[in-house]
Formats: sequence, C-alpha cells, structure tokens
Amino acid sequence: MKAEFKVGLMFIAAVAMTVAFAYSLGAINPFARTYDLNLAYNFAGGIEVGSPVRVMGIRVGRVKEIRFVPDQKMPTGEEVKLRITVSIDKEAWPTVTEDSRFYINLAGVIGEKFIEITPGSSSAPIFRPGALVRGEDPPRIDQLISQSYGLAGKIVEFVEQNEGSIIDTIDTINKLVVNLNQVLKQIEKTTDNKEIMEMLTNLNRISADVAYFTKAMRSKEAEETVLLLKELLWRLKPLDQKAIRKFLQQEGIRARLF
Amino acid sequence: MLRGLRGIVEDIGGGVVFMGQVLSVALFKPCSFRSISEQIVKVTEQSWLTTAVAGFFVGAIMTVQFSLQIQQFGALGYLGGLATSGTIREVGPLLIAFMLSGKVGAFTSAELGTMRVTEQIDAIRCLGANPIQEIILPRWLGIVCSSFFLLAVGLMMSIGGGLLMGMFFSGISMQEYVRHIPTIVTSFSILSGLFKCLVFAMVLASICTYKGYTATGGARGVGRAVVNTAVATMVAIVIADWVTSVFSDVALRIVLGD
Amino acid sequence: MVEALGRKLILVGQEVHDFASLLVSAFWSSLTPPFRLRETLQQLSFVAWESAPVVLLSVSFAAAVTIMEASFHMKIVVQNDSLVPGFAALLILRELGVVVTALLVTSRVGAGYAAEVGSMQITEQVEALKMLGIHPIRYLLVPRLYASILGLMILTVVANMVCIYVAMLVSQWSLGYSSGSFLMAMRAFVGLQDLLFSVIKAGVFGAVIPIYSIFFGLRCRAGAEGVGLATTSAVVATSVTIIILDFILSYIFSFFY
Repeated sequence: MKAEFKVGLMFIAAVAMTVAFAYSLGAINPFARTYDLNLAYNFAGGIEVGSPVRVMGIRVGRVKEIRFVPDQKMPTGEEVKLRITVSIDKEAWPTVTEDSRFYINLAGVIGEKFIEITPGSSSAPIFRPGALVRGEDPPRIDQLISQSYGLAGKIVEFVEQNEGSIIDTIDTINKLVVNLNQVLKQIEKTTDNKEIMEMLTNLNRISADVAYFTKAMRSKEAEETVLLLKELLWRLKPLDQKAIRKFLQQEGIRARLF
Repeated sequence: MLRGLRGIVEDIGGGVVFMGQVLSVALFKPCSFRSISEQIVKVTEQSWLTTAVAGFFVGAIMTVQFSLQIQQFGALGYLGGLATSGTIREVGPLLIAFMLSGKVGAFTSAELGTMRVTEQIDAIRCLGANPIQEIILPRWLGIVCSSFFLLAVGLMMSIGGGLLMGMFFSGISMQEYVRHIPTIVTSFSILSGLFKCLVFAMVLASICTYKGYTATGGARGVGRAVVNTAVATMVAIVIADWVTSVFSDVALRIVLGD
Repeated sequence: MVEALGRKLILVGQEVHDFASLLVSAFWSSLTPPFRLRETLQQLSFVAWESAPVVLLSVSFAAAVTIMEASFHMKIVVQNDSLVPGFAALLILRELGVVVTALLVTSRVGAGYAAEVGSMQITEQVEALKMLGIHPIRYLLVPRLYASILGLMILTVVANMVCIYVAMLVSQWSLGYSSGSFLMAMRAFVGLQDLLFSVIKAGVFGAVIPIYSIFFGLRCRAGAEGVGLATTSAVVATSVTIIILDFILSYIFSFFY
C-alpha cells in the first residue's frame, strides 16, 4: 500500500467519524428536510439554541434561533417581544396545525428544556412554513416560589388560629364515642345480631372521622387554602426539578417552614 | 499484518519463558538483598520528581473536569470525594504508570540493551555467573518495589493537586473538600487503587527487563528496544487496568455478598 | 561549592539556550519553503497509520474501564447509573481519549524519532547534512512536526470515536443500555465543541512530540548508551510536558464550555 492511500484512508475515516458523531449528537442532520416555524413568547425560561422540539413526545427538530423583536405584535394586538425559530421535520409537519399548542417543558434527571407541541385536530389547517404563532408562556418558577412562601405562611397561620377548635373537635368526638359505646352496650344487651353489631361499629368509626374532618374543613379560609395548594402542586409537578431541588436545598427554607 | 501478529505472539511466548526463568532463579538462587536495595534507591532517586509532578497535575486535571460537571447539579460539595475517588481508582494509576513506563521502563531497557549489545551480559556468562541472577532479578525486584512506592506517592500528590485546584478553581474551602473524601473513597477503593499500582509495577518491570535483555543489533537495536518497551508497556498497562478493574469489581461483589 | 553551582548554572543556561534556538529555527523553517511534502506524507503514514492499531486497542480497553468506574461512582453518589453514558463520554472526549493517544504516540513515534535522529547523529549523518549545506532542523524536524501535528489530530478523532463506540458496546453488555438510550444520555452532556477542543489539544501535543525528540536526538552522545539515554529523556520530557499542557489547556477550555 502506498503512503498516500494509508494517510487518505485515515483522513477519510476521521472525517466520516466526525460527521457521524455530529449526526448522532443532533448537531447536523442532512437527511431530514425541515420547515421553520416562528414561536412568540414573553417568557421562555431556559430554552437555548439547539434545545429539542418534540411533537407528542417525539423529537422532531430543534431550536434554530432566538431573537428579540421589540416591536413584534400578534394579530390580536398583543405585544410579544421574543421570537424563537424552530425547525420541524417534514414528516411531523402535518400533525402541527393551527390549534396546536406550544409549551415549554422539561425532561430527564438534569432537566433538559424543550418545546412540546401538542398535536392539533386534523380538521384545522396546517401552518405555512415560517408562520408566526403565539406559544404558551410557562409559569415563572420565581413567582411560584414567592407564592408558595405566602401559602406556607397561610397554612401555619390557619393551624395556629384554629388550634382551639381542633382540640374541641377531638373532645367532641371523644364524647360522641363514649355515648356511642353506651348505646352499643345497650344494644348488645337487647340483641345478639352480629351484623347490626358490625354495622354499628363501622358507623361509630365513620362518624368519628366525619366529625373530625367536617369541623376542620368548615372554615372558608381552609377551603381556599386547599384549592390553592392543589393548584400549586399541579403546576409545580412538570416544572424545573433542578431549580426546585436547589431551592429546597437552600437551608433556611426548612427552618422557616417548620 | 499476519507477521505483526506473529511477532506479538512470539513476544508473549518469549516473555513468559523469560519470566519463568526469573522466577526459578528467584526461588532457587536468590540474589543478595544489598543489590536489590541498590536498585530500589537508584530507581526511586531517578524518578520521584517526575512521578510527583505528573501525579500533581493528573489530580489537578481531574478536579477541573469533575467540577465542571458537578456544578451542573449544584453538588459541588461532592467534588472532593468524586475527584479523589476517580483519580485513585482509575485515572491516577493509569497516567502515572504511563509516565513511569517512559521513565523507568525505557531507562532500564536502554541500560540492559546497552549491556547486551556491548556484550557485557555475555561476559558475565563467561565468568561463570548467571546473568539473570546477577542483573535481571535485582532489577526486576527493585523496579517492582520502587515503582509501587512511586505510584503510591504519585497518588498522594494527585490528591494534593486536586485539593489545590478545588480551592483555587472551584472555590471550595479545604475543609469542605476534605470532609467529603471519606464519604465516597472507601478503604476498598484505596485497596483497589494500590492493587492496580502493584500490578502495573509488575507489568512494567517484566516488560522492560525482557525487552532490554533480548535487544540485538548495536545502537539502533537499543533505540528499537526502548521504543518497543515503551509501547508494549503502555498497551499492557491499559489491558491490565481493565483486568484489575473487572477483578476488583468481582471482588467487591463477593465481599458485599451478592 | 560556588564554583560548582556556577558551572551547573552555565550548563542549565546552555541547555535552555540550545532549546530556545531550536524552537526559533523550527518556527522559522516550518513557515518558509521548501516543505518536503513527500517526506511529510511518509511521516504522516508512520504516525497515523502505523500507530493506529496500538492506539485503538489501548483506548478500547480504557473505554471499558471508564464505563465500569463511572457506573461505580454513579451508584455511590446518585444511587443509580442513568447518567453513566454522559459522564463516561465526557471523560473520554475531554481527557482520556486525547491524553492516552498522545502518550502512546509519544512512546511510539517520539521515542522512534529520538532513536532515529540519535543514531544519525552518532554516525555523523547530521554532520554530513550540514556539510552539504542542508539545515538539519529544516530537513529533519519540519516534516516530522507537520506529520506529528496532523497525524495526532486524525488519530485523536478516530480514537475518540472508537472509544465512545466501545463504551457504548460495554454499557450495552454490562449495564443493559440500548444504543439509543446511550446516545440520548450522551447527548445531554456532550457537544460538538468537546471533540473540537480535544482535536486542538491533540495538535498542541503533536507539536511537542517531535520538538523534544529531535532536540534530544541531536544531543545524543556516542554509543548504544547514548541512544538509549536520548530516547528515554525524549519520552520522559514529552510525557511530563503533555500532562502539564493538558492541565493548562483544560483550564483554559473550561471557560468556554
């Protein structure tokens, strides 16, 4: 073999391997034909050039460009200053229709940010390439955290304020149980029916539980709190786990909460 | 290609026979303790500085690379443990042994090769002495002992280098860095690192004595022997690295009992 | 005492001066023609092609060890090994691939050059070159310099890729990853710039190897012992310099990730 051939072979191998590596990293993709779509956001926490774009959870493209457009206006008249250009594979393009929604989501242990597109209904028209669409702004984690501070305070306040009434409830239940016991003894004396016995025991327990819950739940404030808490948990669930972890790691918050 | 393979197989065969000779000499006609300790002092004196510098920088490199990764997780506290453990268990012994294969291995094979091509070895045989007993065995034992010692010193230096970079590059206080070392570096890791050092030392000593002892053909031959020694040692060390890793993995499983 | 110290200082100064003048003339003659392209190609085939089997064999084993060790550490720290491909690929691309390749090439090519030039020196072939009006540095160093830089760059790319491929195979075999999940986990950590930086490192290391080898080869003293010593010194000096340069380059690149 000539030296030229050997060197050439090594060089071709190196270039081919680099290209294959870049392809497997998703940095280049010469085979897939893509269309561009412009998404408008007011807040796009953590999206970077190169972040993946997924339709129904499948990676179909990536973020090509992020631009600040100060005078960008949606047809509705809303000012949206951030424009994110994404490329979407031709194959997946027909599933993205005008009633699709564009969320910013995160996945994996390290919390990689990506743009999630929900499939639109097939009756809605598909976009023409390069169209401008309003994306769904993600909830801001810092605002959520400040809300949760307030919420935690409210919960503590509620428990402190109602301490007396909770104790009252327990007392009442105690009395009720004593009464019930007496009734049961009465019944036991009068009848031997086992089923009735069991029913009554169950009733005893249920009434105790119900008395406890209803008493505590009755205040209006508590109802609001529970609703808020539910909403917060629902919104926190898909959010940036890394930031939450970091936030929870910060000492002091624990002290403030408990 | 085939000729190359045949050469490798011949080398392995010759090496095994040679080591058998050395072993039988060691068992039946041991050399004086004095000549061994001379070799130990000589090798250690020559190489401690190189090893220490190499170890220091290996530790520093590992800390820089690890801190970049760990920062992403906000777990910089673990840096000390992870970098130290990674260095002691794998990268440290490997790279420092590479360094020693250049320093000790190449030097010894050059020395022995010179003796061989200037017919000093034959002169010893003419005098009725056994050259393996007189020159090879003390060198082999001396190199094993001092290489093991040097590798251990290199590992210590790598911990120091890692600590220093942890302080200056990642901004972790010394106490914080040191505090996390025992949580990740178990005594088993240290043992496995030292075991690697011992195996590498033996590989190094065997290859360089064999290659030097069998050198032929004047000054060029010595040069060739040195090159072959350095390459063969490095390849053998990488393979030994894998074998010892598998071995200590299995040993750990047996110790843990599953 | 003072006299001995002075003598030592003069000796060290002499060596530093020799090395610096070698660097300067290497730099000058590597930028001006003639380039001896034919010879460079021959050397390139020596560096890249003939070192490839040894390098690829070694990095394959290194990759296997890296996967094993990474999974060991991950199990301790995060209790599972879902991030192993990312960490292992990162360690391979940023450090192990290029350093192991460079050290192997040092011992093969660097030692070979030192032995070759050393025996040319003691058989007075270098003197003969000078008599013919050929500058030995231009004649010997420049083709080897270019060949070593380019060859090590090519080898590093190939070695890194083979290393990652072997890591993928090993993690399939011992950790039960599919190749798709390996690539996904790797993608979260590794970027194309990691490969670029490792190629830059390879270029720098490639320049170090022939410079030291030729320097020690040209100072070779007569006899078999001299050749051995020159070769050993070249390998040791190159290896230590590579480790130190690797540290410096890692430090610099760490600001660009």
